[in-house]
Amino acid sequence: MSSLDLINVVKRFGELTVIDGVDLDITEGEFVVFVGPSGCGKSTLLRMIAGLEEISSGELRIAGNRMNETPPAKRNIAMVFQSYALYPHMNVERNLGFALETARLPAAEIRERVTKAARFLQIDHLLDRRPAQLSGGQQQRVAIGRALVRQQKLFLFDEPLSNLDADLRMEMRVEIARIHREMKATTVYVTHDQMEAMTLADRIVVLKEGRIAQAGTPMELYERPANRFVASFIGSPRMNFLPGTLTQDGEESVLTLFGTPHRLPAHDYAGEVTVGIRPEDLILGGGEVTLTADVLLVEPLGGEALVHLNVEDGRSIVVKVQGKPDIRPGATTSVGWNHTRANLFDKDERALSRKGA
Amino acid sequence: MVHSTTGRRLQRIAIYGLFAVIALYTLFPFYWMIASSLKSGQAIFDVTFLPDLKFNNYKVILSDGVFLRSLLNSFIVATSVVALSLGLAVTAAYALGRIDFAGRSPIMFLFLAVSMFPQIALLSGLFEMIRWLGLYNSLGSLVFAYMIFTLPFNIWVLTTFMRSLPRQIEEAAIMDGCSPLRILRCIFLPMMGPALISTGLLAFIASWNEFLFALTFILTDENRTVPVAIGLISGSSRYEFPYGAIMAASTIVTVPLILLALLLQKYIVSGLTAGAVKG
Amino acid sequence: MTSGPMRIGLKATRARTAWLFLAPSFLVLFAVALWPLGRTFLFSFTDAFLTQPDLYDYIGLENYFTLFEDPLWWQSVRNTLYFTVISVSIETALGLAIALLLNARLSGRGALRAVILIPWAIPVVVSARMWQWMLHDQFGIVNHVLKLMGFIDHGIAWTADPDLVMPVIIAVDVWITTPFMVLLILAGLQMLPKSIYEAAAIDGVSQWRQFTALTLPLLAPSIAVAVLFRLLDALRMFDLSFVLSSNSDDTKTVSIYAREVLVNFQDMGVGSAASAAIFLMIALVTAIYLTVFRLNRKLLGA
Repeated sequence: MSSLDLINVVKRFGELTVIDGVDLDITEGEFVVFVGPSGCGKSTLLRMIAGLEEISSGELRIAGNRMNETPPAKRNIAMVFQSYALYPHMNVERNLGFALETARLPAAEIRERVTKAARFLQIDHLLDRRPAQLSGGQQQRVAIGRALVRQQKLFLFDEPLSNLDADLRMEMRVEIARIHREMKATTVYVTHDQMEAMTLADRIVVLKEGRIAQAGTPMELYERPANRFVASFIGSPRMNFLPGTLTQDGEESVLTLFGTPHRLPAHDYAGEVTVGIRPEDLILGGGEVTLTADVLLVEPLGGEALVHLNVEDGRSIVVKVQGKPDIRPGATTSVGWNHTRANLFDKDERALSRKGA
Repeated sequence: MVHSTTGRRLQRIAIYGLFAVIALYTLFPFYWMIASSLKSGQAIFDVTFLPDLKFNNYKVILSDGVFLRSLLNSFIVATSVVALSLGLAVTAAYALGRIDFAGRSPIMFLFLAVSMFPQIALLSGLFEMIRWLGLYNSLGSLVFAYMIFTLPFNIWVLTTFMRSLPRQIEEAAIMDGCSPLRILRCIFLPMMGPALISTGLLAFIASWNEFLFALTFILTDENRTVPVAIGLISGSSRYEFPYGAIMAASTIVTVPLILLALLLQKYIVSGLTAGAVKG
Repeated sequence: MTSGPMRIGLKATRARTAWLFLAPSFLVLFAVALWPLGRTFLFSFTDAFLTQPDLYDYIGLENYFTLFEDPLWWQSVRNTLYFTVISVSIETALGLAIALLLNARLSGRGALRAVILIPWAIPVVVSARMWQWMLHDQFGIVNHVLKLMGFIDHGIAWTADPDLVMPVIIAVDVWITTPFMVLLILAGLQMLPKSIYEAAAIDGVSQWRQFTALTLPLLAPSIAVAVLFRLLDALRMFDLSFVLSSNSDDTKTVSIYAREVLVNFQDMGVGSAASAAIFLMIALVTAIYLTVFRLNRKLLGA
């Protein structure tokens, strides 16, 4: 196990700054997921940790030692690639053992470690096959096996599941969680899928335009997003956003939505705000704040349903309800929420905190 | 409908007719060469379309130690050129195809420019260089000189191929602790089979067929290559020209190439087009 | 910057590997091409002889004057240019036609493609000998067939008649190198997107219009590249002429001329001057060709 520290790390390609000063401490055994839209720099950051990209400035430390100039193979890390990157001309056994072969380990030990990893990943019956003879899921297992065999302290995963179909993705997600539970290796995992991030991570790092938008446990990010970007990125269906204004009135704040004032606990801010409420926090029939809305569409999902509504300015919002709602498109209904479930963002899209909180 | 199918059929017949004409035009000279080589003595001067199946000419040419020797020389030169030019080109192509460094484009351009040099323009300078290296009148001079047209071409084609190999495979190998040389040897080389066959074949054919340098840098019969040997065969007069022997020798040199061309057609074509598409 | 002066970056290590990997090829090409080319140019200003290349004096442009006053040089230039223009034109037209034919989805085209490769794959010397024998004035099959068909009474001396020898050489060259053109153009044809033809067919565009409006413009780059390769090859033609009509002034190419002066007359100075002139000539043709091609492209693009 190894800790990993990024200290004001920057990556520039010519004039373009791709990673713009990232600070992050990852503790031993932690499972950290980098998530963000494409182009946010998450893969670049991972590749910088791996040593496949040079660090323009700042410092990378693994287990406390500066690693900026250390070649990838000497950083004590193992990496799983999105395309699996299996060597097409070698069978599974040689693919798994190749790193050890390169390190000139004795044949007996290579065989032992390969067998162990193969058994652990349930691919021991495939050792003689070539990658082309394997299914996507099996190839993914071999790719993970290749990392396991090296018994490194730090695992890097670069969007490992994005080439798999939905069923297999779920299966492999569980598998990766199991591996982490048993190996306890420090893991950095890159994905664009917030669901993967939520289910796997001890801590999620949301990246936006080369900076950390927020880092925290999945529940922290879900419950208390630091900004509108994180709020909309985490959670599915997406959080609903409504425009309003916040004014101070003595010990209380007043939120004006579509011309109607609502009293709130006090905030240290006055001006234009965005109110964000998750679909599952909206209540049909109304709450502490209530709006009227037209029902646009009802999507039953079985155990729950999504109700699409048009609120007063024609903006559409989504409500998630349990069971099957007794409501029809075209009807008018009221919808609302309770203050504690609402997130307020200022005009710079930063989350507002309650006074004293 | 009936009309259009007849039209189509006629069109097909016309196309197959053209196929036949092209094939005849292409192949008849070979047939004639082989047929002539199988006629003995004076029979070669009677124009008959069927061969006699007499092997006298082959006996004459094969009992001539000089011809056998030149066959061997050609083979030695061509295989050495293939080995040397591929060995050099593969490493150079790795650098040019996989590593992003300042100066890459000018070097690619330089290699391309060299491949366009007319051989004759180098002749006197090369003459001096070969003498200086002590290679004059030896097979080594040809192996060396043939690098001019094989090496840049191979580098060019292999670089293109190298570039098409997936980046993550190389990165996986880097993470596995491979040095660049080991990546090349254990990962890329086995993946490059088709490209190596293509470039190797073209280098072999080009070296096997080369005439100008082989004529100029080799002085003595026992060091000559086959094209020069055939090019220099002559009779005591124009009427005693040993056409039977020449045709037999030509057949012997050509057969391996025809087999290569027919069996490995795919690789030759892909090598040729890979070299040209980039131009 | 945190990286200290003594630390070598990963990128720098890779770059060093690149130069290391390039060094052997670089060295070989320097020794075999760049240095000899430079020496050729240098010798062209000297009175060196092949027997003693170390002993020479600089004599300025005298070799070039000698060269340019030799009518045989100018004849070989004319021969080369004539050969190049005519043979490359025929090969391009024929190559395009055969490539279009081979592009039709018919069984047997794979076999035909293999067959047409053969003339290109065998030594030019062998092709020259083969045709020399077929074109023999007394015993050649060509004259025999022509006589049988009643076209001629006496055998034609194909390679001895000054008016016929160049056309004969061009014809043999067409036989040898048309396959090369076919293959390159065919590769270009096979890269054309099928969908545009389907769209054109639906729009009711005639086959001929499809050819002139779609195929030719899209194929132009492939043809241009193939022509450039052939051009470079034809301009330095040596072996075909050398074997088929060895000493005829009517088919002497610049390459033959230069080698003759250099090797047979041992005159390294004038021979090098001729070589250098050939180099410049080919460079000039290439430059003109590329400029025209690029201009064309720009005009078409605009």
